[in-house]
Amino acid sequence: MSSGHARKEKARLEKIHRKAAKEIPTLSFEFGAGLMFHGPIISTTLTITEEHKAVLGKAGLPIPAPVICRFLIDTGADLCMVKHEFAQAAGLKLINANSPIHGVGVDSTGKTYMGRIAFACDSRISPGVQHQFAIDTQILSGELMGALLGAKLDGLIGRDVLQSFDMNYNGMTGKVEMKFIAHATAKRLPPGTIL
Amino acid sequence: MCGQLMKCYNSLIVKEKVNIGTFSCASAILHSMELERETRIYTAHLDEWRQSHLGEFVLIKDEEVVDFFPSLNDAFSCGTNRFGLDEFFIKQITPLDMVNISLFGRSLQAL
Repeated sequence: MSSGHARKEKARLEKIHRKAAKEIPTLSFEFGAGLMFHGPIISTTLTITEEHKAVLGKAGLPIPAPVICRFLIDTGADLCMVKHEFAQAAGLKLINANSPIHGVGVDSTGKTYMGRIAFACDSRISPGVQHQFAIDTQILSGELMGALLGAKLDGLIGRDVLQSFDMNYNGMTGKVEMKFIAHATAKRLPPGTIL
Repeated sequence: MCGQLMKCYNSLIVKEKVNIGTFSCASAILHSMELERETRIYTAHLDEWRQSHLGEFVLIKDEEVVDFFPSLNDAFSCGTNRFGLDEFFIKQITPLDMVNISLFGRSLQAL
């Protein structure tokens, strides 16, 4: 490719990314009848924060690979939660080893980690462009006893993450849409970011 | 090393059930030990901090209360910058020291 062509191609890509940057990233899920029976369960990425990554890199330690988790979107949960093995596999940073947890029928204790939940969705106006955004937050860990629940889910997305979204739950069609809105704890990642 | 960890584990009075494999289990217990001092400091000052720092995030390292921060990210950045990979404790000062996790409650087993 000549330098003239390369310049044009670069300018074209920059224009596409500028256009995409103005778009509100929207996660869209079609659950159909499953929405009623299982609730909104989405698969997304659990990983460590940029600061934690930088410190590990500086110490010459390996960066843990991101982990894909099946999260139930739970408007009744104050915070996010994952099974303990997922928090460990993702290498999250422990910040509190003794967190009282309350739920339906139980008072219990778990651990709290600092971690990042990352999302990605395709642009609706710029084909081929993918939006990526991440929310750094505290993540509780615990262990599921119920075999059925444990088999279906790896964790919960609570209201601390949902405060970065404008969510539309359509029980009739089984469609859930989550528009990403700016919030102090949320970061929109540059195109092509490798988690 | 693993034997030492297990001795240490066995010497503790562990009320919680831990069933996540030998090494993980021992390392989880060590984490708990490391943050035990910080948890004690937090618990001892909680009532006082509820009057003066409600909603803020406290960062504690060993027996030092490093500072209070308006956000979790600020507290974590400060902790990471100052203490690197060492353990440190962060917790929001809330009116109730309890997190509600609704659905998982019924199926949750503490570690």
